[in-house]
Amino acid sequence: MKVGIFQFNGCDKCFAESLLLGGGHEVERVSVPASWKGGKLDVAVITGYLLPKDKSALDKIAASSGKMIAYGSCATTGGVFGLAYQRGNDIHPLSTLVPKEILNVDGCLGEVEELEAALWGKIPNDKSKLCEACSRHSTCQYLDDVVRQLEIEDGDEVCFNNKGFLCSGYVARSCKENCVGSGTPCRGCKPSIKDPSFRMLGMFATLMANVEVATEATGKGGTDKLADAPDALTRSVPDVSGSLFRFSLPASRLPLGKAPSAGNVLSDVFIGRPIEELPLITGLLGGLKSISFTLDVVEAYENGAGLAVSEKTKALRRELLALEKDLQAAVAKGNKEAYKAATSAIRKVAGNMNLSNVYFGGFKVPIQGYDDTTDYRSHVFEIKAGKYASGSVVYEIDSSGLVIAFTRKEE
Amino acid sequence: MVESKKRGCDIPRDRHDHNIVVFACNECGQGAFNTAGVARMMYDASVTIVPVQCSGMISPAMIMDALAEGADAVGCIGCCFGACHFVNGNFLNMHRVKMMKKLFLEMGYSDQIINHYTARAAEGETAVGDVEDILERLERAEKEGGTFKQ
Amino acid sequence: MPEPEKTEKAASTRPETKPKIGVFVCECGGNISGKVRVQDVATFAKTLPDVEVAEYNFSMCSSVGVDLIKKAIEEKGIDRTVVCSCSKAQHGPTFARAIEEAGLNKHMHEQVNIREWDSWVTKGKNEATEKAKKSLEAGVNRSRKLEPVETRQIPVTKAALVIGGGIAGCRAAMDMANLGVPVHLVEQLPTIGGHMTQLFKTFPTNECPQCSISPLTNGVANNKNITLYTNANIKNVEGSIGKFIVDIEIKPRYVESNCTSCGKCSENCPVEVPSEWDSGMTYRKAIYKPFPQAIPATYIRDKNACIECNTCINVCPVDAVNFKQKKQEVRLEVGTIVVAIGYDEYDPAEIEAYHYGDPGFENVITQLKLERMMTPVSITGGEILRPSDGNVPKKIVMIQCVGSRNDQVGNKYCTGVCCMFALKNAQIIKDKHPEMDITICYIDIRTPGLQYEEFYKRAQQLGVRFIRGRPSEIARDPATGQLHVITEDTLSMTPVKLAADMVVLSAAMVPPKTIGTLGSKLHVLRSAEGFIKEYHIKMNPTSSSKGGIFIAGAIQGPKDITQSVAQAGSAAALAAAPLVKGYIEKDMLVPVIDEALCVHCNSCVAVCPVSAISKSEDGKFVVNDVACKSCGLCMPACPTAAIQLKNFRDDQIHDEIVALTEKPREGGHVHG
Repeated sequence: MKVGIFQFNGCDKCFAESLLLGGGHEVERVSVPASWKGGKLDVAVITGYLLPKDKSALDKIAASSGKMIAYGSCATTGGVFGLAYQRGNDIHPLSTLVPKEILNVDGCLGEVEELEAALWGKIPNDKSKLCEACSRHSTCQYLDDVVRQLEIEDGDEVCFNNKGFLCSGYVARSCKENCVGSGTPCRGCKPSIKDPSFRMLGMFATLMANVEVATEATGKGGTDKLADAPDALTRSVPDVSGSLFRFSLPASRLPLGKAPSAGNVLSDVFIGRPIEELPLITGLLGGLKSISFTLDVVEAYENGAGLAVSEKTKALRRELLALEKDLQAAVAKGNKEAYKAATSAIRKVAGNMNLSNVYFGGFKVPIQGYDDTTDYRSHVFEIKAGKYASGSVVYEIDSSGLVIAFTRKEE
Repeated sequence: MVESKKRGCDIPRDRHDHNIVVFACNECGQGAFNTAGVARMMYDASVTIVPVQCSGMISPAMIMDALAEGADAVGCIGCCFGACHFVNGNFLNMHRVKMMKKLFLEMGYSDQIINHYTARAAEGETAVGDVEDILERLERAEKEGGTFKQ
Repeated sequence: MPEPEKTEKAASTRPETKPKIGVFVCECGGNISGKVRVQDVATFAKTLPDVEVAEYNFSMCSSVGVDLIKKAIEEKGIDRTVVCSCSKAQHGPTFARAIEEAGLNKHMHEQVNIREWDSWVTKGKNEATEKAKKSLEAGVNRSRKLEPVETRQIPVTKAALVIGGGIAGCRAAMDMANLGVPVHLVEQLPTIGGHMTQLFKTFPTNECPQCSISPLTNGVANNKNITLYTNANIKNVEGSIGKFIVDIEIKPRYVESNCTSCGKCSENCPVEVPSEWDSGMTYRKAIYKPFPQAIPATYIRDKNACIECNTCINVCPVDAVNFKQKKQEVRLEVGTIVVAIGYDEYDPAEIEAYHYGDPGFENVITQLKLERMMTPVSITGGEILRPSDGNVPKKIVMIQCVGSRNDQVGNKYCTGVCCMFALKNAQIIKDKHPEMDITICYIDIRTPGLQYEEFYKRAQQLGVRFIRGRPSEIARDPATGQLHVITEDTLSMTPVKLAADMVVLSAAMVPPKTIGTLGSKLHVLRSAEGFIKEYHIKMNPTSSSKGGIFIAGAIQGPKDITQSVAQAGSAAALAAAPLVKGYIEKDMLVPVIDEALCVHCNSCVAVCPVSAISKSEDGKFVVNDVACKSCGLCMPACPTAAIQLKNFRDDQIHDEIVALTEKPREGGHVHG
């Protein structure tokens, strides 16, 4: 078929991954859709997040193509960049911008196998469940505490949620990235149901039934109601929007957010996020620069807060940076084989393309080929308010560890 | 020709008629409204009631559904603490509503458009008092520009 | 994301035929039509999809109205009804019964309240009519997806358990036994009869309680349908109405049941300790019978006091004493339970100003202790004597509301019995000792009901003095030991210092200590004061919050013997009903689990208040239909909405919400 692949806003991870599309298709790759010359397509694949300004380009593409596929969470539901919706950035899912039937392929990274099937009209609607693929088991009981960080123990088979560590795996389909395998809780980039975030919010709030909430009397003849004061419950989950709506804030039915904006989408994505979630977020939206981006963020805090890092860790990180260069070169040349080699080498060390295994202080789970796992394993770290900088990144966190300012210099 | 899907928040709503949805539990919630009715205690007609078995049956998805479909404010009314017919349903709903309130504050909206209240089946004034509280808070939220419809 | 349509179909167990809805709007004799334009509402209803019939009537609950419904079912093939009238509690069952008589499943009826929730509470007619239309559409939308629900007959175990062998427990046991129900009566003390047997006389007739209760306790001991377990505790309770599995532990008496109650063991036992049953007013031996008329009459050995001299073993003519007796564990299967564990007397030591139990204040006693003193077999031989020196008191002061009606200490409630028993004891003393000065310090004298006010008058006529004021302290002169009750006569507004040779405190009735562990085993709700909470304070005072468990007597709240006996009868009737019938009928309004969506997280298992959901051997999650209380708590706990309560499904509620959140318009609202 004649396939057009269009990269709109955001990182270029899915656009790059689509290099792996099987042969037999005549593929046109368009990295600046606004300047697209036009043409007749059987299928148009849209990647990246979308703003109202992209409507004219999208309408043109829609008119020129038979089928339209949204590939990757940014296009289907707003993706990680969609978190900027919280601060007034009007990011849209593709289906709300074009008057055309859209086939959605979720995922961050979107799975290229599902894209291949979608080209032939197959909806990725398998009933696979993340929990079935995950090695942990759940016995959900009411929690005594909610934790923001968890010490990852090898062989521990208890579900993250049972330990008070929020994981949206319950509402996710099983996926290639397998963040949970790298000691990182799922944030639901491939939802298995509609309304996944609100349902997960309801479920986790149920487990928190023993955590204290503040109440007060209405005094109007009514009896008691919830108080506005912050309480143990609100302190337990410091970033409800970021942790429960990581990939789908614009598709959640919530109106455009009114929280104060820092003036650009990237900063707006990061403000309000807890420090312990930063490496995963940079891993998600850094695209072909995610490794250097993530390491800048991680090293900024390590240097500023005095977290020690082993030599092994430093060596592994250098390895990853070298792989990033290989990856960028492969994509620039459009070299499928080199791309495959680079990505599988990255996945070995970093866990997956989301860099789930990369963390403050080192890595979370054992890396294949390295016997001495203690040397580079990270641990739960102390949160210290302050300004942190390294490489292209400068950010500031408050005393509860939430980001209050974030800038990144573009090269 | 297929219309592009509307986001729930984009569907135009009539701003002038308030719509308050109250989920009331089978025991004290609906009981209090029944008692208020018998005693002819008047309250705003913008309030409509969705009967549920227990306030613990109310999910955040349901509350969000009401707001996205056009409710200006949502109240959940359950039994008093210690009196829940099903042991702790009222506590469960409180936690869910408080999490949603936090979400709304993070998004820059008012958290006053949803709340969980308790009532006593034998006292109609508790239901009416709760309704008055909802309306009062909605007015405040509208003044601050924190409601969904603005 | 997966498309919503596909998910919904997978979750549904509903038939695929098109629904035929009948809508009926009631004028309620002007109560609704006075505010709501009923005809407009009916006309509006006809515009909604799937509504085959839309009518209005003066009074839907009358036979005319009900016939309208039946006719619509029979002639127009309506398969579900929506009646807009009063509350579900009021006439929901009326219409449900009507459609059942016409051949439909009774759950296919939807009640929309436009009276209590609209016409009676809305000011303007336009607003009331618009609101009625919205509510109607919501009801119609909900009815579209109703499904029939089975009413199942569940066989029950024909046996009942009564916990507590006081007056309420014995009465309940007898009443059930007389209905042919086998009853297991479990009492933690070695004897039955409870607090009533400790009283000297009962008001208002001043009869002897031992004589009153004796036919009942003997009856209980000899009834072929009653198995008595004394000195026994409840260890565990599992199950639900119709089948409770109860484990009881019987502590050893060390005396076998062939004991003839001759008393030789006790006569010859060298060890003497104060008798708990007698509030310390007498002594008992280490092997003893708590009181002469005790039932069972078998003696009991106090292992802790015993010095194992073996005298009792040697003198027993029937070799009944057995130091090697072990505790017994018995497992019972019963259909219903009656809890009648009574009360404890409030411990006035908490009120420091009254010095109860302090050295030098031995003459400050409670009414229960006074009762024990007044019985003919007491250590004083029925005389009223001061505990400190054995002298006859000349001045007795009684203090009411000790531990009751108090915001600072004790309890807020009024026990409701202390006025009567204080008056009774004052009268008894005055009858015997007209020269004794008796003063009752009170806040209010509460003697409601027949013969009670007359009782109060008699006490006044006998010369009992009444001072209105709550005493602030009982003071003691360190030199003479003389007690004074410091109070204020609030009627004349003068401070009063009453000299007292003996002070009797009318202590409150409080929940018994054992309710803590027992309550948690039974999973019943407790009131804020700690008693077992009744299902409905007016309409159902003898049922607990859990199906199959009933309550009687002081455990539901402080009350006198008359009320306890009445409640016992009520609890017995309720507890025996399903057992005599042989089955309970339960609507199977239960949740359904969609295996395709279930992620086996166990949160529904954790959240269910009656533990009705569990994992079966093949890994699937199953709901115990019988235990389920149809609360729906499982629904929001499920992350994937895999578990849905029948007739309260998420999509049904969504359809209601869609109708309520917009202005009503012809044809209704059709949303995705």
